[in-house]
Amino acid sequence: MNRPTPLDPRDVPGGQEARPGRRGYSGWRGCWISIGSWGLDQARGLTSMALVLAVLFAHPSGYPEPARWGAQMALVPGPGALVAQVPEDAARARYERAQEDFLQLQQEGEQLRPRLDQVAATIQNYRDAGNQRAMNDVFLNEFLPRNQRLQDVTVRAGVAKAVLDEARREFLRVLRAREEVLLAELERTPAPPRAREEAINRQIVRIRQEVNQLEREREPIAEVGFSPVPRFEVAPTDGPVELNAQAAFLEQRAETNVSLIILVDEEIRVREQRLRLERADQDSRVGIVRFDGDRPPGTGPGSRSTLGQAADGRAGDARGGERSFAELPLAEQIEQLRSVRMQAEAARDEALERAAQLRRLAIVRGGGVP
Amino acid sequence: MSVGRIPWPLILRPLLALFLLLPPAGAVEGQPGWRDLVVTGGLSGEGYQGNLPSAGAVIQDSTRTASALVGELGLRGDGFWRRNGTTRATLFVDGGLRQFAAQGFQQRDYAPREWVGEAEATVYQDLGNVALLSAFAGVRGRAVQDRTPMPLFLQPGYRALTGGASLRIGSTAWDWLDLSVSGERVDFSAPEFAPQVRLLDRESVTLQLAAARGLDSQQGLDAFVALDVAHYREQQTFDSDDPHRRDQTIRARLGWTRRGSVVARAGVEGRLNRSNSRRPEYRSVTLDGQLSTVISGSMVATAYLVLTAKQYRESIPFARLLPGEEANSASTAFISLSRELARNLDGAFRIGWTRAEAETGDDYFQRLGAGLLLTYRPGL
Repeated sequence: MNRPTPLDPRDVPGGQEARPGRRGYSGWRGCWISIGSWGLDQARGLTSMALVLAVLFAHPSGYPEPARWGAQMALVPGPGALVAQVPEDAARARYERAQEDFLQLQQEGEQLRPRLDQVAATIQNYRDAGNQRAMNDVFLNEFLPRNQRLQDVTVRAGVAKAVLDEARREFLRVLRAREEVLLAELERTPAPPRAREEAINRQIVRIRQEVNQLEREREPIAEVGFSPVPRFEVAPTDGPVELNAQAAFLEQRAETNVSLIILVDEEIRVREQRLRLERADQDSRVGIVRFDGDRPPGTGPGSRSTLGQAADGRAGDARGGERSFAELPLAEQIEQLRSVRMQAEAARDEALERAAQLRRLAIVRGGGVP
Repeated sequence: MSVGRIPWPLILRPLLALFLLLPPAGAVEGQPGWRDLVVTGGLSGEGYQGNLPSAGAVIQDSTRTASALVGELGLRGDGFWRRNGTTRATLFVDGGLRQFAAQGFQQRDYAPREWVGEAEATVYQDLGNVALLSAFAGVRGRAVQDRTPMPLFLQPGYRALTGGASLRIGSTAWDWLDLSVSGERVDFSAPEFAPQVRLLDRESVTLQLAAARGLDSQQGLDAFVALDVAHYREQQTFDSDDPHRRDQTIRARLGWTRRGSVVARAGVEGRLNRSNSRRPEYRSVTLDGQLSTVISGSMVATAYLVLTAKQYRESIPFARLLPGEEANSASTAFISLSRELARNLDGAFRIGWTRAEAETGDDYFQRLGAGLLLTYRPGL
């Protein structure tokens, strides 16, 4: 059996000395040699590990970076090499990228929210004017797509925040480990050259500053929560007139949400009816073809089931890219509408509760019942 | 007597495991889930008419009419696996059991039992948002115990394996065009005393071009043209240069669908069959229509009608056909009323009629039945 000749004594199993410039290389070569020298079981184990790694590395977005790093670390022998395998620069770059992604989504959400409020107000206006057709048109073509986009952004922002938190934790771990290495170096060398000592101290100071900065950012930052009800800061100087005006504004917002709920209920009702019909239609077809004796022509063995992909469009949502609300399966449209309804209900209740608080405060401040 | 040789445990156990492993319907994106999961159970009374011979049945009986009480159970699931909001794979499963208590025959009363099952898995790959490539594989089979003579026709057991691929692309004239190629192998379970059923064993290849386009937000058209090439390895042509039977069938269909406050579907399908053997060559046309509408509250009425006309190229009285197979000129009609009985549970009353061709061309048997069916959708 041809076995690669070890090029360096540290490359054989057990030779785990890590050299800064060659850690990754020696680690992999160590694996290769192991296959030849450890036998079949070890080779199987390594092959399995390689497959897992291949999946992890090939996965475009399903696994976060730490999983990949963890996998990389597992290959590296010795605790000293562990830290160096996740370079500080890479951890910083990843953190900055995650922060940028999150902030971008947060900004996008902040831009979408007022537009959605604007559309909700338009719906309310059409409702007041009794223009049912225009109201439905705006709801279906403007409100729902924007709401869908907002929900999408919210979900992605949630994921981005989790990634950011993880990137920050990882970056902090790397920085602290680096600091320990530098401190250890100072302890190991009782009288280092002055220039070297200064350089190490500068690095430690920089690392501590960076750690402090990250710790501060760890504080809860603004989530991409889209509170649809404006929060009024009640000033000590606000009198009954100001407080009642704020309460009236909130009550108007609650009314807008009531309109939205009525509209959504109707859309849900229509879709539930359509879903019922489609299911009845599908149940009937299955009832006919399930037991072959009653099969219509052309649907016996030798002909693909009429329930197959081409017939009922199950491939419809296999296309990539974003789908419009109308392209979603009916069950998902209903789910989204129920979600909109719950949001509108919560917004209505919150607005009414705050309005009631403001009215009570107005009375306390001498305004009487408006 | 058992004539089913399908390894049901091998088919049903993995399906059962899948049902148990997959999360309930409506699962969140990024996970596997069921888009639809339906359990059905029902009871019906049916009458059959037609004193016809049958080469596919073990025994003959001289009765003209027979009746049966039929209980059935069924399970259907439409599963998916999504990643990043895109469906990457789907799984369709359907299975059922029918138990008959038949009477009216001259020789004895029969108690046939039918098992049917189907599973088809499809994987999808989006090709740059321009085309969608999919590949599918499936298995379908049935087994019958204590088969009855005519006129209570029960198709013999078989096992069919299918597989193929399709490419769906966008088009200016149509919403999409779908070119697919598929292959199928069908092996029949022949009763000991009717080995001739094996003559229907075959391999076939189908090339199909399908298309669909929307007319407006509620209406759409769909069409396909397909070529089936079937090879019957057990049938001889008695021609040494071309010893086995080969059939070519061209099929084409144009359909219209409306989905709104009323779900309606109508279509016309034509078939032209040619064979290298002295089997019946024919042409046929089928008109079909279905209408479902809410009549009040949660009550839904559904009507379904299929009418088929078939014309043979030449009369071959000695040629025997198998109903539901080559004798594919059935006409069917049924009406059903369904309504919600409880949360996730629907009940339906159905009346159905079928007129299908028997073994010799232009001979028909009929079935008339009425039944109650319960449909349960867990977790939906």
